[in-house]
Amino acid sequence: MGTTVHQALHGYSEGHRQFACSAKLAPNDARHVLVMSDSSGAGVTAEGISYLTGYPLQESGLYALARTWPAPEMPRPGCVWTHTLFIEFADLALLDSPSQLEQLFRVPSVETSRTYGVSVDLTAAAPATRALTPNEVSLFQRLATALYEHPREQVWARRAGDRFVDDMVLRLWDLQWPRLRRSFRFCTLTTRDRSQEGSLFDLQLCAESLPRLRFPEQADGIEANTISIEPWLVQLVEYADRPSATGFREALRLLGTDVLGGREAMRSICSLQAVLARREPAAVEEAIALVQSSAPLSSSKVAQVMVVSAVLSRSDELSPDALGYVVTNLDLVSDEELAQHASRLARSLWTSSPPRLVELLFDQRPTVQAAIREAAQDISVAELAQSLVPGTEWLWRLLQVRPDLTETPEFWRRTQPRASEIEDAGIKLQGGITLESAVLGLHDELAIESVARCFGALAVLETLQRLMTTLQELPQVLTWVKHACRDVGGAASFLAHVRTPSAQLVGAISNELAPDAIPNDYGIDPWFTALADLQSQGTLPLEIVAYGFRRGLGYRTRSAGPLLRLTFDAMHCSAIAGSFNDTKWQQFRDSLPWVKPADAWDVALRLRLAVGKRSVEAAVRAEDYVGITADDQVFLSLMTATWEHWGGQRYLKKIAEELQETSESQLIPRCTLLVSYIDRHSRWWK
Amino acid sequence: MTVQDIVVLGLPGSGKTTFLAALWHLLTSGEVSTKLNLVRLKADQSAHLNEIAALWRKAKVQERTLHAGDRTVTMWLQAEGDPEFQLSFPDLAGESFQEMWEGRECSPEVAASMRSSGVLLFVHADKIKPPGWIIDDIEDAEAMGLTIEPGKPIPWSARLAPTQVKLVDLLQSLQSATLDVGPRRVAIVLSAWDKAAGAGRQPDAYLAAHLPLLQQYLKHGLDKAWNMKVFGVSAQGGVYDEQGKPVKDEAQRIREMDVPSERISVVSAGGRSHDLTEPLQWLLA
Repeated sequence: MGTTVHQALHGYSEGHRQFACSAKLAPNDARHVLVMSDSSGAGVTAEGISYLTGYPLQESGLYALARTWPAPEMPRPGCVWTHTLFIEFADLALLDSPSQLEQLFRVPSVETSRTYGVSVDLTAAAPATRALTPNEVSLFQRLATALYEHPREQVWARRAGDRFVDDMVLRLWDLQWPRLRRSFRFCTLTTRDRSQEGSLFDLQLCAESLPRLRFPEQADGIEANTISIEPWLVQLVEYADRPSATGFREALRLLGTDVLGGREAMRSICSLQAVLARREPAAVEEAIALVQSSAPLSSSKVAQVMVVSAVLSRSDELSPDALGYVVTNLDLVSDEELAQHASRLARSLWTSSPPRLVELLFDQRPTVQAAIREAAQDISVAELAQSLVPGTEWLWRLLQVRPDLTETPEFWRRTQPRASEIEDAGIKLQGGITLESAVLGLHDELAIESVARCFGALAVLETLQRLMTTLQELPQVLTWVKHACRDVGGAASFLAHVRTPSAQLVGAISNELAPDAIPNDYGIDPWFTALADLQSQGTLPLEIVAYGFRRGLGYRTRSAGPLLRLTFDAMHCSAIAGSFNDTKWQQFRDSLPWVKPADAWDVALRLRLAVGKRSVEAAVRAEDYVGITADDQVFLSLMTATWEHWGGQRYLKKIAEELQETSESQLIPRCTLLVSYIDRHSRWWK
Repeated sequence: MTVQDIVVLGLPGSGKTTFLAALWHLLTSGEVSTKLNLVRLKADQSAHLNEIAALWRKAKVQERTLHAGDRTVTMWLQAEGDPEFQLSFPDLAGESFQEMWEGRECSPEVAASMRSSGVLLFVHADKIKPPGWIIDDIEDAEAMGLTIEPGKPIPWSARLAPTQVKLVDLLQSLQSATLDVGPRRVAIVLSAWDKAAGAGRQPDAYLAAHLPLLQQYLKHGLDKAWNMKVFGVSAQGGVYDEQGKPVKDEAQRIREMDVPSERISVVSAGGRSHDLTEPLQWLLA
């Protein structure tokens, strides 16, 4: 189904008159057509060529395109035939190339004059693809330059008799947006200005023989005799040369519905198209400048949409200002486009202006927010972390979207946050990876304290333990241990359950906690568990052994016997070797039981006295007591220290009785020694 | 300074532009003496007048005055010993008046011109369309490419009306609301008088013989205060060449006349002259 086009024929019969018309025209329009269908000016028919006239009929909502032929067969000079086609404005807007109407023109004659009273169908055809000749290009450039660089002026030009003049004017008409197209008035051959009151002609051509087109007193047109060197014209000529380039027509159709103004908009529109066609980064800035500062584009939403879309597709090469423009105008972009380019945009924003990205993550427009949030997930935590700055408000908002940031040490290293700040942002701190990252990244003591309190001693110490088995160095380990150990319950739990603990970590804990700090209300003393595990791995450092020994002597432990068994030999050997003579051990020496000043130097003796005293007071189990030392001589000295303590004799006899009933073979030698010792020292009152 | 307006009425092809071309030649060439002399012309109008006068001198047929070509020529004239006065002379297309008859309407510009007190009414003496006979109507219809079916009535068309009917209607319009400005002077110009002169009648008699309805209307239909005079005018002096067509012998003869102004002939009850300003002077009297 084609487009319905009405038509009319005018010619001479006792005056210039209408012969036929299929359109119902408003009276004013009918009169206007009568005038416009007449010869365009004195002497025009003498040129012997046909010409085109195009003009709108506002009241009837039609555009009239007419071809006029000289009618030398008529009785008077100056008579013409004019075949006028009328197309509704709406249909005109839909035609890709309104110049297709030209195919409907028929040369009239008296014989055929009655056949013009019916409408005809225009079958849309593909636009001509013939490239322009140099002469045609030159004419096109001159006409376009004058029309669009002097939008308020009436343009005129001289023309030769060539038919291509009509083609060039039609191509100009083709390359107009619907609103401009339907208001464009042109005539391709006249001798005088054809403007009627209130409707000025945009473009008129006169014969080369004339000095100029004749204008009324109060008007003066501009001659199209120069060619612009600006890019907009290059762009327009390119489209004229390739009528099949539908992209520009589509752009025109869209912009034309939105751009205010007539011819003055063409330069801006073509400039914009030219800029958008360029690929270098500078073009983006130019395009933005065009829609921001130059009327009429600055008031055109469609132009803004075009630029935002184009800029968005190149968002990986934008300046901060250009990115800002995109962000401000994101609501102009379709959901599909935004989804397509959001990832690139988000990454660019993060690189150049993280706060802007964060703002978008909480944008009020649901589609924008969703697209950017999804895109933000594609940025790795490592990339995100590289741009983090401490103390910024947007950091906490970003965390709400990317809580996994807490799983990278870089986040903690760069921001040194308190746990409370993170939790205030709605993020629950949990998980081994998060804590590991915090341990690796934090160096601010207050931050460490808050995170340690948040996770609890057990989690912190387990994490430290894990890291210390794999890392050479953990700079803040002592600070972490210090704050973890404020939770002695947690520390106890750690010590009770840790397997193959790090000697350094255990040492750090022992430095933080007094030997009696860790509770042991029931079961095996956590310290014993940890130290026994440590010892199974190899030799214990003397400091830890001493700590375990002191723990064994303390009131808190329920594993005094095992602890003393674990530590006594090492302590005793060290004492004999003089290891405790150093001033750093002064406090330790003072904590041992009192002896006569003459014996005060003998740390080994004091150690034995301390163990004897503790064994009696804590009623150390028999098998533990006999296993406190592996050396029989030292065992004899230990029994002496025990025997001499108040209640020691009774204690030794009691454990001897217990041992005599044991069936464990390894205890028998010590049981024998114990019994013989008791026998030897009990004779005097037997 | 006095301002005088004259309205030039006439159907298409009645000789209005030829009269103006010849008048311009007459006033600017000084070849013959005239009752009125040109003092000056309004700016920008000489080009159009020179164009049509050049065609007239070359004995070429004037091109039709176009619909959109309506223009008013304004000139300052002076009769010997009298103060100068301004004369506006609208060169309207005949179609404007045809439209008044057929469409019963005219443009505001034409209406404004028609409120002048002086009326120069042109009638082509050789192209008077008499009241139609059926046989003539059939010929007309065939000329227009309309096929006539026997027994089928032909619808009446205003265009087919006789010349005098159209002219009477035009004069009636001048006495109707919007155009009525009171009594006027009407100069009837029978153009192409050289062709009608063979009939041997004075212009008054020629009018009465060929346009009886118009003659009666001029006598009895117009308000008594109106004045009327008939002039036979040959502004061309004969048959001219049409553009793009073979040269005619008579046109060649006219071109060879020494003094182009002597081609002009004005006949009235007062006698014969070459002075085209006579009807104008009578109108302004």
